[in-house]
Amino acid sequence: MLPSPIDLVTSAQWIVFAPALVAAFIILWPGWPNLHTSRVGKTVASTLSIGAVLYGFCHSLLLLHAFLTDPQTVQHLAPVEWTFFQSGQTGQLGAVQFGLGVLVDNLSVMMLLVVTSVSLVVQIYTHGYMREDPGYSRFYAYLSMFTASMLGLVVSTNLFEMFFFWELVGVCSYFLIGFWFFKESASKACIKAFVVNRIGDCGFLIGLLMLFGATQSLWAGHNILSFVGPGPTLKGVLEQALTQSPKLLSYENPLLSLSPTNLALISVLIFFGPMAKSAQFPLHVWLPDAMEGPTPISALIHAATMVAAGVYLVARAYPIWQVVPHGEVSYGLQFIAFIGTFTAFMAATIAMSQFDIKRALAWSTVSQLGYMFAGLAAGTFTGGMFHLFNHAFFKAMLFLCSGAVIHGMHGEQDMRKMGGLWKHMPGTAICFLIGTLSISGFPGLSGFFSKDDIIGAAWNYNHLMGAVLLFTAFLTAFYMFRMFFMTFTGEYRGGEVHPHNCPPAMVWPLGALAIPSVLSGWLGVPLGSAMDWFAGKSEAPNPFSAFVYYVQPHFEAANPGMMLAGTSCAFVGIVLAWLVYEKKTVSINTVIAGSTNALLSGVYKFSFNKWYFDEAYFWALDRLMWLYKAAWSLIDMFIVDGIVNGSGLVTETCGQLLKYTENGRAQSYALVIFSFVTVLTLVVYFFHP
Amino acid sequence: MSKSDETHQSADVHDDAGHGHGHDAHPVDVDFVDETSGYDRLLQLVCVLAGAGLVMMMWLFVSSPITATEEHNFENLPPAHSAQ
Repeated sequence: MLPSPIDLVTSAQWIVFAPALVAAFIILWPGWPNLHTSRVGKTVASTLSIGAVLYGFCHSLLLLHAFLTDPQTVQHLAPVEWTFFQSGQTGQLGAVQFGLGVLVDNLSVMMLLVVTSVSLVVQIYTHGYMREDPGYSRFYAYLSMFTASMLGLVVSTNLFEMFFFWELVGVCSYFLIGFWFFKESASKACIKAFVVNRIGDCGFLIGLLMLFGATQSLWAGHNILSFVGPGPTLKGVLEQALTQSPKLLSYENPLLSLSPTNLALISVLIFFGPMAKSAQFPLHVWLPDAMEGPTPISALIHAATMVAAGVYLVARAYPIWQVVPHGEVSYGLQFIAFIGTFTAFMAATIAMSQFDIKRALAWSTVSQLGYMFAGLAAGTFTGGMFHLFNHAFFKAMLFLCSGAVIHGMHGEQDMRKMGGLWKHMPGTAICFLIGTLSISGFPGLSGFFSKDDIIGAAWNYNHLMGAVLLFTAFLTAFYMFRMFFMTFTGEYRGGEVHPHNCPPAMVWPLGALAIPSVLSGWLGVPLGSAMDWFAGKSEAPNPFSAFVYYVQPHFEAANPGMMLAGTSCAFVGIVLAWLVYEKKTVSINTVIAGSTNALLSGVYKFSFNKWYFDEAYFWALDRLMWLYKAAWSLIDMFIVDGIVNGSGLVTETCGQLLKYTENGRAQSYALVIFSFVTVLTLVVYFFHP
Repeated sequence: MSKSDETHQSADVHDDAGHGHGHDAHPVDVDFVDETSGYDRLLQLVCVLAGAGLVMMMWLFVSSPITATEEHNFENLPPAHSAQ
C-alpha cells in the first residue's frame, strides 16, 4: 500500500528545504548556456526557484495538518540527525557528538509556514519587479539560497547547526543588499550590514562555546543542544547544570562551570546574535541602510523572515534566558526586556521624521521587532511569536506596496515627491491601508491582537515598560498614517514624473498577503466564545496559543482595559496624523521642525538624524582607529625600526672595533694564533672532565 | 525655510534619503518585459494558490480538534520544549 502524503512529509522532513537548495545550485551552475541572458534561461531560473518554494509551502501545510489533526503521531516524530563528529560512546557521560539534523515541532512548523508563504509571494512579485534587470536569474538564485538557509535555520536540531545556517542567511543578506553593487551606496550598505552582524555573531559564538563548555558533560553524547526529542533537552541540561555542584563537571575552570552568574553572562552574550540579526539597539544601524537592496529583498529578508530569526532563536533557546535557580530573577530576560522596549521606542521616534518610504518602513520593522523581544521577555512567549507571525504578513505586504509605489514613480523613494497616488494605484493603496491599520493596532486586524497581548504582559511585568510600549503604539499609528497620507492622499507633488500602475505580477501578491493581514489575528481569539473572551470572562483555548507555546499552553481572557488603552492610543495617533498630513490643520515645520525654540527644533533634528547613532559610531571608530594607528606607529618606530637599525649599528660598531686588528703584519697574526691555542690548551687541561 | 508643510524639508536638516538608490538605477534588459505573456498568467495562478494556501492555513488552525475539544485537555499534546 502506498504511504499517504502526510506519512511522506512527516517521515522525510528534510525535503522541506532541499528543493530550494537544489534550485539555487542549479541556477548558479556555471555551465548553463545563456541562463542569465536569454528569455528561456530566465524563465527556467524563476520557475525552478518559485517551484521549489511552492513545494516547501505545500510541505509545511501538510506538516501543519499532521500536527493539528494527529498530535499523538507527531509526538513520536524524532528529530533526524546525521552525526559528523563523535567522541566517546553514545550514552556515556562526557561523550560529545556533533551533527546536522532536522527538528520539526509546533514552533518550527509555524516558522516554516511564515518563511515559505512569504517567500513564495515575494518570488512571484520579484518577476514583476526585476523583469528588466540583467541580474534576474542571479537574483532568483540568491532568493532560493536564502530560503533554503532560512528553512535550515528553522529546523536545526542544535545551536551549532543553527549558527551555521545563521551565517548562511547572513551571507545571502550580504549578497542581496549589495545586489546592485555598482552603486556606491549599495556596496557600502552591504559591508556595513556584514560588519555589524559579525560583531553580534562574535558574541553569539563566544556565548555558545561557553555554554557548551559548561554543560558538555551533561549531554551524554546524544542529540546535543536539541530542545525536544529522546535525548536531553536544553531546559533539562541547564537545570541539571545549575543544581549540580561544579566539582561534578569536567572542568575546574570557573568560567566553564554553570553558576547563575555565568548563565546570565552566557545569555547576554548569545543575545548579541539576535541583537544584530534583528537590528536591536545598539546593533540596529545596519537595517535601514539595507534598504539599498531591491525591494523584494527588503520585504522578504529585512522585514518578514531573516530579521525575525533573532526572535526565533530566543524562542527556540528560551531556556537559556528563562531557566534560573529557584528564587532568583532572570537577568537575561531583564536585559532582553530593556533592549526590546528601548528599541521599540527609539525606532518609532526615528520613523516619524523619515522621508524615504522604504527607510521609514525599515525603522518601523526595528520597532516591531522590539515589541516581539519585549513580549518574550515579559513572559508572553506565545504573544511574542504571535506578533512575529502577524507582522511577517502585513510588513511583507507593506514593503511590497512600497516597491509598487517606487516602481510606479520610476524609482522615486522620497515621500515629499509623492502624494495623491490613490487614484493612480488604488489596489496598492488599499493594501497599504490594510497593512497600516493592522500595524497600528486597529481593532479587528491582526496587529491589534498580538500587540495588545504584548502590551498587557509588559504592563504586568513592569508598569514603566508597559507604558513605554503603549506610548510607542501611539507613535506607530502616527508615523504609519503619516506615510499613508504623504504617499496616497492629497495633491501629487512629483512634478514631471507621471506615476503608473504596476503589472499584475506585482499587484496580485499584495492581495494574497492582505488575507492574513486582515484575518490572522483572529487565530488568537477563541471563536466559539469570542464575546465572552473580549469581555474578559472566557479563558477558552484559542487556535494559536494551543499550537505555539512554551512547555504548556496558557490561555488568558482578553484584558478589556488594556485593549481600550491600546486602541485609544492608536486612534489618537491616526487622528493626529490626519490633522497634520491630510487636513493640514497643524504644520510640523511651524510647530517643531522650523520652530525658533531650540529645544523643539533640536528634538526634530535628533529624530531626523536617527539619534546621531551613525555619527557617534563613526566618531568613536575614528578615535579608536587613531589610537590603533598611534599604537602601531610607536611599535613600528621603536621596535621594528629599532631591530633593523640596531642590527646595522651593532655591525658597524663591531667593524669599527675589529678594523684595528687587521694591520697586515704576520707577527701580530702569529701572536693571536699562539695566544688562542694557549688559552684553548689551558681550558682543556683544567676543565676536561 | 518653508513654513507651510513638512513635505518641504527644513533647510538646516541633513537629508540622507535618496542618495542614488532607486529601482531605475540599474541597466535595463528589454528582452523580458512582456507583462501579458502566458508565463505571467501562470504566475498569477500560483499567486491565487498561495492566497488559497494561506486561507487553508488559517482554516486548519481554526478547525483543529485541539481547540474544538470541550475538555481542554492538553496533557496529551507534544510538549514544545519540555524535557521528556
